[in-house]
Amino acid sequence: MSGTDPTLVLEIRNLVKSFGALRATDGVSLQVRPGEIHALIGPNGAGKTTLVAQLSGQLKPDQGQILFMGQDITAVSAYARVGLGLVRSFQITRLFKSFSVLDNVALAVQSRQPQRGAFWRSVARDMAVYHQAGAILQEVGLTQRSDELASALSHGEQRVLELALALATEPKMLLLDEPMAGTGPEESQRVVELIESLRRDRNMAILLVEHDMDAVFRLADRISVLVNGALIASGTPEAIRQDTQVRAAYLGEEVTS
Amino acid sequence: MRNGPSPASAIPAPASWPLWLALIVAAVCLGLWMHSQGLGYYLSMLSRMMIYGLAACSLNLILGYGGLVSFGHAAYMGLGAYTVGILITEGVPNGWLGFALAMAISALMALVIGAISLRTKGVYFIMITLAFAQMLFYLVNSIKAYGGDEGLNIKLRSEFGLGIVLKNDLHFFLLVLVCLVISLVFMQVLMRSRMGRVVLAQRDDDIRTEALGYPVYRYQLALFVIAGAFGGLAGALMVNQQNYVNPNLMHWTQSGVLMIMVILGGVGTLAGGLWGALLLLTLEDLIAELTPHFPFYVGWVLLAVVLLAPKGLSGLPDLWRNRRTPAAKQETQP
Repeated sequence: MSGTDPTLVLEIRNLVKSFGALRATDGVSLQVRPGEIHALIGPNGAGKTTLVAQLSGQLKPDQGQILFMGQDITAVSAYARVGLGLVRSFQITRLFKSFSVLDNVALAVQSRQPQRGAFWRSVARDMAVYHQAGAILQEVGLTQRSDELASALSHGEQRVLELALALATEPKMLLLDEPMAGTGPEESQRVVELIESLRRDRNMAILLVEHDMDAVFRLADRISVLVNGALIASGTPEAIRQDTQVRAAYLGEEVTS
Repeated sequence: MRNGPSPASAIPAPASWPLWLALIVAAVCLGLWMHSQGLGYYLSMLSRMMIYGLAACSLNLILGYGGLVSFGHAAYMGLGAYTVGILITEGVPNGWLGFALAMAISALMALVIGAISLRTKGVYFIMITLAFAQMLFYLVNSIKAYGGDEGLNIKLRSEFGLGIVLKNDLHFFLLVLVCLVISLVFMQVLMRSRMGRVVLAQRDDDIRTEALGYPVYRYQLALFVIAGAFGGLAGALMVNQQNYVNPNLMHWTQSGVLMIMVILGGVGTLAGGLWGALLLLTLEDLIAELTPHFPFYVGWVLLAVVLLAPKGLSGLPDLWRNRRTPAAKQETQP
């Protein structure tokens, strides 16, 4: 194993994942630096979500290595990666629909706060958990909706709550899988601002998978382009904009305007 | 610290202790009255219903709160019953030891069965839990030393000392009541603890729960073991109630009966299993006198409950309230 670079938050080395004959991840190597928003773009079916699932531990790669803060986490289970500070959100909103908004966040907070007192203590009486959950709802602007069931929120609000859940686990790095999926212009504006505030206020490293090119070029410090499971380019937004291979393969007319 | 919990939230509300206290007092009074009137047969029948209620409530932990359809819960009841039965046969009638061992052995078996079957999901989980339970059923059937398929008679009941004589119907009824109340209090506290939250969360979405940093499998296994232990407790009571245990207590149809009780009483509610057991066994007694086609009618009742009252008997007060104030009706997702 070659030396690890301590200045990197996340380092992926030559990751490979096949489903039968399909190479969903084909030798991907990628680095994310502290405080950086690294966007991962690519056409549908390029293998973006598959890559995120390997980073978060839901899928096991066939080959390659994943290093997080210098530690090889390739064999670390999904839940333990959260404990290390690597947390994902989901493309399809996955909330606890039978919990209230506040209880959703409280569940996430609880996973990182040590148990105080006896194990049978009622969570509902745990001030520390609910205090922090309330603060996070305040931060993302969902305080008004605290007592609603998660299933009663609008789609845009659910996307925000999805982010709030990830935030509540105190991540060092976020893997955001299409946080703006299915949102209208106003709602996606809200999500963009939230992500910007994370970088600004928390200096959080983020791997952002997104289809919304306006958001990507507004947010990303660097962009990597995934096509058919392999990276075809990686660089600053400016460089990606100019890359002829990328334009041919993916961006098309979208960025020429 | 919560001010206005959503009424439709899956998280159990704080128990209404005055209501529970009133129910317990009422049950004690009923027992005393029946005993004084010489209604020993009915008192014993009530004890039996409550034992089934305890078993169904323990199943409801995994089935209702956990959302894991375990189709072999009668196995733990049977294990508990056989543990106590065999101990008594071997000259160890100590109830404290017997009941503790019954719970421990059921828990241990649940640990083994759960560790394997929880690696599967959905239909496979149902079939694997069923398969394990049937294996235990045939195993017990073949142990000739303890009655085999003819079952095991016990000549005396468990002995607890302290002046408790389980041959006395009232004493036995009170023991069942104490076991039931302690178990329900434990379950209520459990479901409001951190572990309870995680259990409810993984029922909604196990992958999301894991992505928040929870080892979901371990939580499921712990829940499975706890449910098995309480199933064993119900079994330990059952063998004392019947002075007898036979392998049919572990048959898969018994697991089905427990599931029916849970559905009737209310899936994922604290005392749903108890209400379901009371209803089903009462119906069984009433209808059995009129017709031999009891299961046919139970089928209709089940159908009605599933279609009209998804939370079973436990959901009736809410249904009634919503009917009277349709404006306040909460949209809930099953």
